[in-house]
Amino acid sequence: MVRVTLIELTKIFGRPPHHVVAVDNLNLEIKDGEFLGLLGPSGCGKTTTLRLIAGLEIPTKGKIYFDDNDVTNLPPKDRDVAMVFQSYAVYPHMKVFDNIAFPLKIRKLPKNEITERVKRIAEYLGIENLLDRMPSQLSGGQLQRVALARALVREPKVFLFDEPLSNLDAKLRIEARGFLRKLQKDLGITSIYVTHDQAEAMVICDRIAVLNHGRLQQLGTPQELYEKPSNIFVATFIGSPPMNIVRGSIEEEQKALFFIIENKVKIPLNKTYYEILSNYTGKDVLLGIRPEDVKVSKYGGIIQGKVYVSEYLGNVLYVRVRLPVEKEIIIQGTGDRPYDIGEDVTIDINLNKVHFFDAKTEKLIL
Amino acid sequence: MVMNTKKSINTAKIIEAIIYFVFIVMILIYIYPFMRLVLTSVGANPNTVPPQFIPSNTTFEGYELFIFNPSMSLWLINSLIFTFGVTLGSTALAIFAGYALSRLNFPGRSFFFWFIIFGMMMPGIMLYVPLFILLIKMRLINTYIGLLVPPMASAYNVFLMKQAFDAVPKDFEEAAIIDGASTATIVFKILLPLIRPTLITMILFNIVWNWNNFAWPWFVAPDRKFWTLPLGVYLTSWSYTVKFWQYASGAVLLLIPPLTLYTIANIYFIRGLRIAGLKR
Repeated sequence: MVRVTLIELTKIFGRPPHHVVAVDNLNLEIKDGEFLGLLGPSGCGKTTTLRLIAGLEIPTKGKIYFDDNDVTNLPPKDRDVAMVFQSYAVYPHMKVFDNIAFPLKIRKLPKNEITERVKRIAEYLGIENLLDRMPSQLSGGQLQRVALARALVREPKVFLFDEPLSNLDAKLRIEARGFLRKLQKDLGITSIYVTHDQAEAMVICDRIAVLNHGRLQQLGTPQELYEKPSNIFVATFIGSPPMNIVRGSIEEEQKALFFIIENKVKIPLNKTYYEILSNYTGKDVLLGIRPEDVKVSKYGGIIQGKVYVSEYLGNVLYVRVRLPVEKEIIIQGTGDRPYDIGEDVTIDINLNKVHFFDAKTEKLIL
Repeated sequence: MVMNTKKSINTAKIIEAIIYFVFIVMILIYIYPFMRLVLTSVGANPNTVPPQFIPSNTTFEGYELFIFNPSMSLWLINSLIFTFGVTLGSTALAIFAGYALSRLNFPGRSFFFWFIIFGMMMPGIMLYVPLFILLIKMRLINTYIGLLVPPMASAYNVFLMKQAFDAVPKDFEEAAIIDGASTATIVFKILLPLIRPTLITMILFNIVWNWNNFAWPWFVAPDRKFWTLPLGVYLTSWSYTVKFWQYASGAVLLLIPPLTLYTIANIYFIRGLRIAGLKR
């Protein structure tokens, strides 16, 4: 088990002017035994980061340490990492047994030890009855377990996952993510998990590093990311449905602050925010509020609006409401009943749960 | 409505009949040369040129000439050496070159690839004279090296292997690299089994081409002790009067091994052709 440290890690593909900065000055420490998620949209550099840690790519700049050993220029085989690929990469011409035994055969372990270890890991993952089958006879979920077994059988120092669940159907994916989390906690192997699915990252990982355009946006526990997103990108990327973001300005009237949208909608703000937000008086800011902190009802809210659409999901009912302003601003909230399109409603906002972001830098103010 | 359906069924039947008729005609056109070859090989009549389609007399003289020929075993051994030597060398070369062109990053990679493609565009026979001069200067005429090594360089084989390797997803290889596999393990244990249909198809084609190759052995190793079966058949039957039945029986004998091989490997052939999608 090791601690993985990335220092000023940079990977540039191609030469200027046609170069692409895939990973940009990334500093990250993954604790011993931790399950860390690398989360971001496609092209954000998360898979490249994983491949750099695996040794499949050599960084343009920066260092990678496993504990205190510099592994930056070591080939993959000398790093003792294991990786589960999105495609599983289970060799189609080998039986399941030979697939799992492959890394051990390369290490030239004695035959009886190979058999014993393969059987043990297969039993652990519940695939001991599949050992004589060919991969073409397996389902997606079974293939995924074979890929896991092949990675685990070596007892690696670091476990790397490259979107291992994205080829499974929705039901199996939910089952598998719980299984992966439990597995990692049982074994205590330092693990790095790449995904673009924020829900998957939140469920599985101890901490999540959110990446965009190759840069680290925020590193924190799922709760920290959800409750205190450091900028607009993280705020809208984490959580489904995403946080409502509304542009407006802060105005002061008689020692009280208000959030004003186009001089038409006026939201009074909590007194506790006064000290920080009074610096922004007269300036544009972005207000962020999660749908579950917005209540839509027929009467009694602080803002008037018209229903844009209401979405019934069984356990929750989302209502999108258009504010009575020039620009099309739609706020998503939870409703007490389904509403008709165009119906007049009111919105109530939980003022203790609002976030403010600087309109220029998009960074969190509060 | 009912009338219309009946009508369209009848039209479909007529079209089907026409298609079958065309197929049968095509098959007959294909079979005719084979029939002619086999029939010619069993009838000896030096006075009829061209030979009769159904010969008036039956003889196995042509077959006897070759089967009981004391040089036959030498020709057979030479043919086997040539066929399998060239096929083996060419396959090995194609695997290594194809892997390098597909997977290794080296300066000039695409130049080399296009250079090889360019070589494919050239008819092989065009190279015979320059190669012949080169081999004379190297004193390699009438030697096994001169006979076997030049035909091993096959642009078509390299191209086929490169394309086959290209089609294998990189994940398989990277998984093996992370597991600690060497390049040799990756090529022989992972990549080659994955491209097996293409590989087998290529080897089969090569065996047939080399088995039937007439011009190259005659060009660079005309000495009697290097004669392969096609040379033996041609040069034995050659005389001032052409004995068609001898040629024909020699050709039938030559045909038997590739035909057997084709039949046995039919299943691979069909699968491989789907992957390779082209033929020289």
